[in-house]
Amino acid sequence: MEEKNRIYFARTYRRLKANIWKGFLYVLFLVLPCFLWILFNIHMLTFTISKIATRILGREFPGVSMTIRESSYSILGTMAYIDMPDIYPNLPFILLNILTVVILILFLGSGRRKGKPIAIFFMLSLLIHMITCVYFLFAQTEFPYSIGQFSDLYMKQQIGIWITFTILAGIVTGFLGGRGYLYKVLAFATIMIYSILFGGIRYILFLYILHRFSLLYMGLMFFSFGPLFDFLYLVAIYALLTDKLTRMYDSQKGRAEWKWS
Amino acid sequence: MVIAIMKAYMIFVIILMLVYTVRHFLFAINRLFGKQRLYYEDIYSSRMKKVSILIPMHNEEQVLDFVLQSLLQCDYDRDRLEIIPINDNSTDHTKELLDKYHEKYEFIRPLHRNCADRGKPAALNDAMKIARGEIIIVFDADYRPARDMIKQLAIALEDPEVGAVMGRVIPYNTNTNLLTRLINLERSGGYQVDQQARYNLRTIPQYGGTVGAFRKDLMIEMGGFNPKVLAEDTELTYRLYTNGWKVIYANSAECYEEAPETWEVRGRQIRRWSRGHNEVLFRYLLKTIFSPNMTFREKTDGILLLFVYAVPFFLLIGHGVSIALFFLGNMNLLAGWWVLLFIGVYCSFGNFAPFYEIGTALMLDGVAGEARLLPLIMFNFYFYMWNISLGFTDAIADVVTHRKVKWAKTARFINKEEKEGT
Repeated sequence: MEEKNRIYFARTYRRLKANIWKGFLYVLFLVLPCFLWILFNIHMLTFTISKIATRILGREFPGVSMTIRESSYSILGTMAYIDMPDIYPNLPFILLNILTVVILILFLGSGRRKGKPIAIFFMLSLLIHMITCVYFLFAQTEFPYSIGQFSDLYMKQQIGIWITFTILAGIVTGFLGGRGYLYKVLAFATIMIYSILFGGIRYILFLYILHRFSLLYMGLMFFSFGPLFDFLYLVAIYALLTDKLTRMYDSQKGRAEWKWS
Repeated sequence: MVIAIMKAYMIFVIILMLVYTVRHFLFAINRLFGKQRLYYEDIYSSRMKKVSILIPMHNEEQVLDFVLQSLLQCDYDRDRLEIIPINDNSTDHTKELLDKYHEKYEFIRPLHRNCADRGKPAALNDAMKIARGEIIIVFDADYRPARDMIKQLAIALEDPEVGAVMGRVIPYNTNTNLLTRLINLERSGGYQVDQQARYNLRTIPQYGGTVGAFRKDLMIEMGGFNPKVLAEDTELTYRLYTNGWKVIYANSAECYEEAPETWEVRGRQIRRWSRGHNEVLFRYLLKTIFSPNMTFREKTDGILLLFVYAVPFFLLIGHGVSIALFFLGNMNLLAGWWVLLFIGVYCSFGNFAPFYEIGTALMLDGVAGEARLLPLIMFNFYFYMWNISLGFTDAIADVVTHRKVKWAKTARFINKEEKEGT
């Protein structure tokens, strides 16, 4: 019989050594400065994104007036956002959208797609779009938002995401055992940089869609392609880090990090 | 007035999500770094208790060989073991196959039921009447217990405080398709982290209806399983706790199950679980709150556990309310600091905590590669929210109409070639 020269801790009751000191330093020198930087640079961040957005959208929509407005954001100071003229959908466009939504709902609700998670997600999204279409069909003038208001709300939401993600990403990357800090820092930095870049690009894309194709798509963008998609890359980057650390902790060196209760 | 109620509801949902987020993070951190409460696996008894293994079966000709062959490999003293496969109104060859086993092995004693009250609880009640063991262990027909499983589960009941014990369930058909791989991740998080943390923290590890053991006398004394309840496992957990007994979790007692391989079957399974669990919520919420036999910690987590299958319904309503508020132009709920709070919760609402739980479980299990599937679970959120909400409405309809619940079996997927190969 082959003999094992060493018996490792079984998965059943093993646990990681909690390196609180390293975790504390990680928070103190990485997460906290990042958190404070975002907190005290909200105006600069939102203004830069707005500035870039006006340049890009200006090229797409020459002659359209775009204003960078500022609004107060509680004790966080002021933030900037873009205001543009509103474009309302005409009747044939609304009807075309309703028809498309009906066809897509029938398509997603039938055959092999029926009941699958991705189909349910898109069906809920289409339902929201249908409500918007009906709203515009009967009460277009009552629609409570302009592009400027949407833009203001988007920026506020984005600031919320940056602040929350700093805390969340800091906690989940910082306290995963005492090894792989390079990867942890990398994961944290990627989440934050991606968050800012993605937030900016999506902002430009949303404004482009609203101005090119009308306010009809506001509900869809707000509910279906909003924070859920921010959450997606947070989970994706966290998943890659977890995978890396799983391999690391099961390597020859990493095994020293495990404890038996 | 209506708008004020809607805003208040949104705040309720936000608080609810925060509570569950904290709960999940606590579990993950406790499991990852905390001192683990060990099971009784190092304890040996020179005279183990007599065990009866009950296996409810309804048209299980495809899979019954696996569970019986696995049990025949188990290292429990056969003088102290009996296996009772319960043929519950099968119309295939289950009966013939079981009788063949009986001819070959005397301690396999099939119980054939041909009666109107089909269903797992009723079948278990009937089998308990003829069972000779002091301990009852229940397996589903598609399960494949590990060799030392019976010994591991039975030893826990040497502890006079313990009323039931639950083992760990691991899918064996993990590599079949994306769904089975995702279920494997959820199972890993649910057992390696969630159940073990609840055991560590002395809250409420849940008896799961299969891969578990309980005391026969105690169960009979308490009136047996309630055939009107679809989630007889959850009901047993709460019945035991409210009567002063403990349920414990054996992380090392691993058993292998066949995970559903189609979304349709998974959806129906989730809906049934939700319906059954919510029935238990309606029956046991007040009993849990006022039970003199439960500690504050058990009550707190017990209440949260009872609501686990109600929360997605509250969230679905929350979705509807937020859409309504949006079109009514009343998103000022989100003005100023509310945005921060809302987004924080919305992120948890997509809910990062369960992902942290699953990531933690994969690290502990040393499963490399699978973590990269985590983002896909996000889209399952809508799938679960929808099916669990349907189950919740089913449970309400059960209460209102007093209709009788019908037991349904999860479809099996193993094919002939696979069976022969195995």
